[in-house]
Amino acid sequence: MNVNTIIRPLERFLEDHGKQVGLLVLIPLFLFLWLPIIVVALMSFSDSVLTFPPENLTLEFYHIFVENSQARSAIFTSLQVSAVATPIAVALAIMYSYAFAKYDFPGKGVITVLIALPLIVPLIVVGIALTLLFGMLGGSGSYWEVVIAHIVRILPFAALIILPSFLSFDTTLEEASKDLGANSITTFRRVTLPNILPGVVAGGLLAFTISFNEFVYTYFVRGTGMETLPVYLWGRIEHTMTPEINVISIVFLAVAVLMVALAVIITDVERITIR
Amino acid sequence: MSIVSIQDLRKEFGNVTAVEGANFDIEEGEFVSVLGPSGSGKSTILRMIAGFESPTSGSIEILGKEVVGMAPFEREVNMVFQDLALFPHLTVAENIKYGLQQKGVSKDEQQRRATEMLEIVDLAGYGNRDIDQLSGGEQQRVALARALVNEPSVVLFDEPLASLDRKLRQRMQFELQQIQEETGITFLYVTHDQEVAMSVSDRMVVLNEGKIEQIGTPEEIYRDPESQFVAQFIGDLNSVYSKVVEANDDTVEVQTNGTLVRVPVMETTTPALNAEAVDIGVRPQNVTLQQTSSNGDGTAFEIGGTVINRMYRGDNIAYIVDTEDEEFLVIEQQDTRTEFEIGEDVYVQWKTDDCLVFPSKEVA
Repeated sequence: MNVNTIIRPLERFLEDHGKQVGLLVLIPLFLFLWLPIIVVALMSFSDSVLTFPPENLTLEFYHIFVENSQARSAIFTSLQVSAVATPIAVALAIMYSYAFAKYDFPGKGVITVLIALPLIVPLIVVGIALTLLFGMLGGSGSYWEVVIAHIVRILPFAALIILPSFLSFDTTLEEASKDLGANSITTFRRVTLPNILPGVVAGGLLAFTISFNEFVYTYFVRGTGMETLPVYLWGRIEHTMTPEINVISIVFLAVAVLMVALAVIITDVERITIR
Repeated sequence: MSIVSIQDLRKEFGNVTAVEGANFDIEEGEFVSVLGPSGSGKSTILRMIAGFESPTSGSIEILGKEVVGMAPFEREVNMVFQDLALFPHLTVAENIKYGLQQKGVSKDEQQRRATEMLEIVDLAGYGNRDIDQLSGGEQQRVALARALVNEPSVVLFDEPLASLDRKLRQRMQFELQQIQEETGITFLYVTHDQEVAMSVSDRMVVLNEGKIEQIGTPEEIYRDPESQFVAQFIGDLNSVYSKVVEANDDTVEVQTNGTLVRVPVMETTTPALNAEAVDIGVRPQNVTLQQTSSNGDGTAFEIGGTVINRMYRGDNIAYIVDTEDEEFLVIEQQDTRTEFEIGEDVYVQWKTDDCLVFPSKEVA
C-alpha cells in the first residue's frame, strides 16, 4: 500500500480542520501547565490543606501570613539578594556578550562553554562546591556569599538571553555615532544600549525570577541568618502543611508577575521591540 | 590650502597591502570620486580619513592639520555609510540632531538647523517620523542631512547609492550634485560604479589593487586613460595585441593583415613608444561593421570575423564579433542603415585616430 493513501487524506483533513486539531492539542497542554497553579490559588482560600475542592472559603490564612513577621522578613531577604545579584549578573552578561559579538580572541570557544556549563552541572554539585570554596576562604554564609552564589546561578541565563541582541546589533551604528562626534561612553549609552535594551530587559527579568526562586545553592551556602523565601517555605513544609503554604506560593507568583509588569512599564519594551 | 591632503598613504592588513603609496589632494568645494573595483582599497582610504582604520604609514591632513592618531569623533569629517547606519531607535529629526548634540549646540539652534536641513534634502515635515517609515530614497536623504548638518570640512560617501534601483540612483546622483553646489561642502565619494562617478564628480581618482592609476576630470580619464586598466574600467574597450615594427617620436608602426599601420600615441601613454609589443585599444562606439572589405589606406584597422551575438538595446544595437584575435564588442547606433544577423561574416573597422595604445600586458 502506498504511504500517500494514508497521508493525503490526513493532510486534507488537517487543512480543513487544522484550527480544531490545534485547540485539541493546546487546551490539555495549557491545563497541564496551569491547573496546578489554579489549584494552589484556590486552596489558598481554603480552611484545610487536604480537601479539594475547598469546603469553606476564607481569607484567614492571608491574615496569618501578613501577621507572620518571619515570612515577611524572608520575602525582604529574597528581594535584597535578587535585587543586587540581578544587576551584577546582567552587567557581567552585557560585558561578555559585547566582547563575544565584537572581538575575536583566543579561548573564545572555551569561555562560551564555561559560561553555559553551569546550566548542565547538577545544582547540588555546584552547591557543595560553593560551600567548600567559601568554607576554605573562611566564609560563614554571609549575605555576600549568598549573592555570589545567586550570580553564579543566573549569569548563564542572562548571558544566553542577552547575547543574541548583541549578535544582531549592527556595529556600524557605533561607527556612525563616533563619526558624529560621540565618544565611546556616549555611544554605548545613546546608541548601543537602546538598541539592545529588549534583550537586556528580558535577560534581567529571567535572571531575577530565577534568583528569586533559587533554592539549592542558597540552602547549601547560607548561614543561619540568611533565610530567603524558598528556604523559609521549605522549612515550613518540613514541619507542618497548612494552607498558609499555598498563600505564600501565591505571593511568590504575584511578585514574579509584578516584576514583569513593572519592567514592561518602565522600559516600554513593546515600543522598542516593534520598531 | 587643500581640504584633505593625503601623502604616501599605506595600509597593510596582515600580509595583504590594501593601499600603497596613495597621494592626492582635495580642494575646497570639490566633488571627488574614488573609483575602483571591489578590493581595490577605496573603502580603506575612506575609513582611514574618517578614522576607523589607522594607516600603516603616511599622513592624512585635514585643513592642514595631521589627523592620523586622532579618534573618529575628533575629526571634522562626516560619513554617509554604505548601509546608511541611521539610528533605528531615534526619529528623523533626532538622527539629524545627533551630531549637533555632541558638539553642545543649543536646543533651539539644533531645531532650527535640523528643520533647515530637512528642507534642503526635500523632507520638510518628516522630522517626527521613524526611520523605518521612510522609503529607501528618503533614508538616503536623512543620512545625507545627518552628515551635512554638522557642516564638516568634507563629507565622505561609502557607496550609499549602491542599493538603489537605477532610476532612483540617477535621481539621487542629480540631487547630490545640486546639494553639493548649494552648500559648497567638499564631497569625497567612493564607488565601484563608473557611471555614478563620471556623472557626479569634478575629479576622479582611479584605484587598482591599492595603487592610484590615474587622477583627473571624468573627461580626461575617459579620453586619455594612462593605463589599459583605466581604459577598460572606465567604459568598455576592445583590444588587439600587435608587435611593434617601428617607433617614432609620437607614433608606432604595427603590422596588421599584411599592411603596415601607423598609430598615434597619446602623451599620457608614451611608454608604449619603447615597447616591443603593444595592445591597440578602441572603444566599442568607435568601431564600425562592414559587409565588404575596404582595402586600407593605412589610417584604419580592419579585421574579418563573424557576428556571434546581437543585443537590441533601444537606441543602439550591440554586436559581439568573433575574430581571429579577440571577441569584439561593437555598438552601432540605431540610425545606421545596415543591421547584421547572427552568423553573418563581417569586417570590423576602426580609425587609427580612435586608438588607445598601451604597452602590451602579454609578454612577447
